[in-house]
Amino acid sequence: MTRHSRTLLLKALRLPLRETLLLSLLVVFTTVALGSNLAQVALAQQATTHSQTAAAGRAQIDVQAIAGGGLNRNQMAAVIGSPLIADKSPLYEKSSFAIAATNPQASVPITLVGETGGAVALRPLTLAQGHLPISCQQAVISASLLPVLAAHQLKATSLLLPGSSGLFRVSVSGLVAMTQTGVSAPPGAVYLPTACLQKSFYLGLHTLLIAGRLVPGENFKATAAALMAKTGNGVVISSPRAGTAATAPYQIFGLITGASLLFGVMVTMATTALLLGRRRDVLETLTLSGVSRNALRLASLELATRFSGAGVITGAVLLIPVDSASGTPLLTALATILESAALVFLASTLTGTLASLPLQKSPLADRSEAQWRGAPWIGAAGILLTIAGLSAVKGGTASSQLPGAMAVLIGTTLAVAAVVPYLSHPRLESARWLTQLLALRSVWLRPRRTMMSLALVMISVSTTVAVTSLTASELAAATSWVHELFPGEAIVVSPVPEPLALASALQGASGVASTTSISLFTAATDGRLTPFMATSPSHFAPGLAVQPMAGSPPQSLALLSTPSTAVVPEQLAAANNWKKGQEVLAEGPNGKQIPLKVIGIVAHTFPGGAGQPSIIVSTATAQKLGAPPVFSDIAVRCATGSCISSSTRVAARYGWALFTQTQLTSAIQALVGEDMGKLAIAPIILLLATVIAIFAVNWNNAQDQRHDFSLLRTVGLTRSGLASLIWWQSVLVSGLGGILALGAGVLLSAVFIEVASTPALELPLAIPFSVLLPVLALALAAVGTALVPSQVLSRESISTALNRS
Amino acid sequence: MADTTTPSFTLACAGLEKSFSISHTPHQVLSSISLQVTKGEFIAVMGASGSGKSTLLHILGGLEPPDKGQVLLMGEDLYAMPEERRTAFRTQHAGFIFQSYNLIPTLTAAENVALPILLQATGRANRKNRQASSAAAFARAAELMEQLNLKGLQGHHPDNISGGEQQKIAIARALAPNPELVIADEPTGNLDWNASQEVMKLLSSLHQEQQRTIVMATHEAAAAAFAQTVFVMRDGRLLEKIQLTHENGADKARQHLLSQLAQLGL
Repeated sequence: MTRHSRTLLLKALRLPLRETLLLSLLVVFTTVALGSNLAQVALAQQATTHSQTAAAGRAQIDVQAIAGGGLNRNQMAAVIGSPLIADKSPLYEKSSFAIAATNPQASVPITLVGETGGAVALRPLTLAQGHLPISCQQAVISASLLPVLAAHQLKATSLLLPGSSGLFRVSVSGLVAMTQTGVSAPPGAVYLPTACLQKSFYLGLHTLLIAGRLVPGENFKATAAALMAKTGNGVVISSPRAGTAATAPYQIFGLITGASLLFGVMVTMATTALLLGRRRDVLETLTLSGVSRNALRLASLELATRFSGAGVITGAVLLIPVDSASGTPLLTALATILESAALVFLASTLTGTLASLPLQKSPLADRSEAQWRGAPWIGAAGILLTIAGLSAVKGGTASSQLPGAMAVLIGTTLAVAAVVPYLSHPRLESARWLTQLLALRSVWLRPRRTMMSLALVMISVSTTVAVTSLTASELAAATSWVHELFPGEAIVVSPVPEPLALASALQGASGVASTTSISLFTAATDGRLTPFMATSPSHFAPGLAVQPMAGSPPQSLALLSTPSTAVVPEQLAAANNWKKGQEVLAEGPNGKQIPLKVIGIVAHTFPGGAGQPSIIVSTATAQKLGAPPVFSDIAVRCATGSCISSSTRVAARYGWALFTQTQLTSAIQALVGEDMGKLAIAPIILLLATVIAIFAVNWNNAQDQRHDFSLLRTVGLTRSGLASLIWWQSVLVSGLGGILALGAGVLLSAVFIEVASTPALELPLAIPFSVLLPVLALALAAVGTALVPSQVLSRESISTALNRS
Repeated sequence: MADTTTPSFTLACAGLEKSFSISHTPHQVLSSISLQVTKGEFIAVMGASGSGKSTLLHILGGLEPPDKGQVLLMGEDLYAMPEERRTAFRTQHAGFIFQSYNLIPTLTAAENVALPILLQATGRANRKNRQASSAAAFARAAELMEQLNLKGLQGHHPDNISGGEQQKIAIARALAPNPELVIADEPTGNLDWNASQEVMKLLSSLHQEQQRTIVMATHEAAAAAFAQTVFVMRDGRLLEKIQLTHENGADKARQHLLSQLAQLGL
């Protein structure tokens, strides 16, 4: 094909400017919808940071910096040695997290895999709780982890672990003191059923779990990014108190991105097919005029490419300020835009090829669009689908009822749609019925146009419904996570200089089941005994967290309730030649000195790991020293609702801030609310695209029928009659498409949520009233946008329309 | 200006002017057109493509308002009426036949024929009356189709019917409201010789046997020869009026017309 002939072909195939602009708008909005996900991801990151800060309620953020599996030793060392982590403690850097369990669900004795000099020995484990069944959502942990977790304010009842799809939450079902007689469990070891490793984890060799603290501030993102870069394998930063919200948006937005891509591809295919369909007559004429099929194919492809390319470029340009405002990195934005553009281009090219093939083979004699012969089959399929759906709803399980209901909805729609044209014929009796019938006939007997319109409406609306539902599910999940992470707790936020006093005061309050005072003092590293690490004796399980190395009973930390006593680690005692029962002189930060009696020597303390200098004293003893708490707070577990008001009174007495669970939830949501609001960008953009799509459908359908409309006016149809006819067509297409799309959207939501949900991240299927918004918008758009073509075309000169047609 | 107020004229126009804008350039399509058509007259408008024949017929039939001038149909000023009334009035008194048949493709042949009658029905009538008028419309359609030998095609869609048959259905549709005036715009333009002759004989019989008034635009002398009066158009103006007599047969009339056209250089 010469350049000249190609130009002529393209000119022959060219659509009017107005229609080209309209169709291009679809691709523009599609591209914007695709790229806006970048903004959403950036916003999700901001929301996560806010969530962490809010939930932590303090200047520092608890961090579980978890490097995924596959790290080599150097990478592990990089993380451990990173100065970015202010206060770190490697929990585990051994070679395996695995636990062998023949049947995780069965109540059988658990056999642990221990390591002894490279040899693997299998030993039956005897737990304090007896034989413990564990599932994939459960784990047993080394007892040495308990003080580590407590010191970092991490919940001892659940852990976040790295999995193949993000963080994986397990509840701690038991503690393990030893795996072999006389051999302690590896520090920080977490034991999981083997089956779970295959399912959800890539924990394996060289998996590293670090608990530590990052100072967030302004450098939080840079710090996290640097840590990620250093490991080269991704580091998940998560505050346990902020919940797993950090992981949720990424999974959800991944799905949204996928849905948007699907939407974009489908819209592009539909518009390209529509574009070429509008030039079917020209293609046929050119074919009959002797233009080769290959030339036509090339011309069609080039036309589709130009059309979609212009839309993609425009959409990409529109995205730049969006991404810039959301803080998305430029390179990431460009990469994703290019990816979207490539997909749209591919879709349009593919459609151009497919659409041009039958057209090239089509003689003029094949132009007629005969009555849709498949109607009876569709009707029969609809009836069968309805029956199957009713059966599923009536006798099925809960999980089958929703698909069943959708099957009934879709089946009924199909059945009704199939039989209505036959039933309506006797109603050809009045002007009003006539316009309705003419609209129905037009929709029914032009299946290609109708199906394309339905597809566009369905894609638009169902995607919007699904995205709206997903957003609602995310919000619902965020709320439930907060509730789950703070079960029945009232959190007193620092400063709490007298946690023990508060604990005692609250302990006596009505409805308070228990209080836990948590005070942490870092240990000196220069051999001096200040500042101290103080903790409540009730916090540790006797005999587990502190292992006496020698001496006679009593060995419990309850001894610390005796004033001026201390427990010291073995290494510190050896270095100073301290013995049990010996008195040592301790000095507080303000120079005050008191004698402390060593009542126990421990093998493991925190922070710093076993053998490092740190001392555990009671809070009362610490107060004697005037040691300021580095951080203190208190968790109150309420037995009844009145606990909250009691706690409030006590907190007020001491002048401390106290948040109830509800308040905390509200506080978190208030902080992240703004960002969550921004997360609604996707549904809003898709909604806008839906309205545009419906307008385009109505406009192009009306334009396609200009000739028919002018004929109808010639034989007596008035302007108002024509407007009525166009309106009814819009209602039929949009209404049917809307009903089908609502069902498809709900199904799509259910599928997305089912796929997105993991044991650690359970999303509820939320179908809020906001889902009705797209449907309402559809109804308004169907009516509103139908008015435009009806008014424009009804005022058009009949003669002009006839001549133009 | 001709007297357009005489009620004996089925159709009359005076001082018609019409221009269209093509690529932002105005083009005068009709200039100072005046004519009268008496009841039962068969006139033809001849001219080359682009001479303004179709535009004139559209204006005469109430489809396109002129820029200037007046059109009287059955003594009523067509373009002085509101759109809704004009639509009803012209549908009642004028039937259209087009070169490209212009049948509604989504309706069957019978429905196409019945459509103008059904569109005249108002939505205010009660259900019983609507049913009655609907039945009457389809009965009228059946009657017309039988008269035009189209009985077996009632349930067929236009796409499945030959061109000649489609044009006959279009004629039946034009006659359905029983109008006094039939306006035919190149009715044989898409037909072969045999089908053209059949359609023209049909129009001629409508004129002779039913005393219908017929205004036809054509560029074929063979078709125009069926008319009593032939107006020749050139560049939007009526160039000549040729009277034809059929007392000596159709061939004589055609020869006379051809000789007159030759004198005009056409």
